Amino acid sequence: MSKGFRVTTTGGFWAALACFWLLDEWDLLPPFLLASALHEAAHLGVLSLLHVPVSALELRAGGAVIRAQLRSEMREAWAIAAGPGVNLLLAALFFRAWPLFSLCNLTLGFCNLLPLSMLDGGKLCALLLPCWLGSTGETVCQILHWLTLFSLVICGVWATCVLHYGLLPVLLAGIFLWKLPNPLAKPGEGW
Amino acid sequence: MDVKKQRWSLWLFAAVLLLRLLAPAETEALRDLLLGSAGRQAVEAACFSLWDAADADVVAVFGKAQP
Repeated sequence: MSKGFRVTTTGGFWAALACFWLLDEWDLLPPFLLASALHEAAHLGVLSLLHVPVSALELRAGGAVIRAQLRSEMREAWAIAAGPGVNLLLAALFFRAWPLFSLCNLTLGFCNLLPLSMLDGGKLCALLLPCWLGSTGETVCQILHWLTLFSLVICGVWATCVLHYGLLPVLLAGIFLWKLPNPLAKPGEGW
Repeated sequence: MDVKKQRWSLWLFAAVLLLRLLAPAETEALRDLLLGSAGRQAVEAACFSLWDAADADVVAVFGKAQP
């Protein structure tokens, strides 16, 4: 890692934090923030171990974006996998001592492994599947992305309309559709 | 943080703070609107089932605490 990097935030990040705080009646915000911070620290830690210079860290509503100059796909894959890996490890370690922290880590770890292009799982798919399967890998990656996205949208509508889980699931589904990026992640783009 | 550009998010935080402190009934109504009573029960059940599972695990390993 270089000597330092710029940390910026977007308005969406603070808005998401305010909404979480408003809805949080179970005191899930502190353990969730800690789990998120450790997730990003794991990405940065692996980048530091691999001597990859990081230029910026941007905190957004959907998570953080790390700008790094990666030269090898395997290095990028390790750095991406470190975040959800640490969350799943912490979920197992803190299961007895701090179940709420464990729950936050479990949720964060599994959600990040979904094969959506903006998440760690999607970025891993975009990196590894073309390496293993060639051009078929790119197609498989896109199919996985769209299948996951439409499953989430259907689940959101179902949760709101059938299970009566309020407006949040359908609003989140709408945001997912609105913020839909290119299914194939650009190399070097953050995670 | 660019305070000038993101002033609206500070106002949002202030609004949430005021709502939580001064209007608990309205906060509850907003939570019901966004999460629904079923959604709130589901999150609560997830939290408590994990507590219970962890508790049962501890009891299984160390035995019940003596009064």
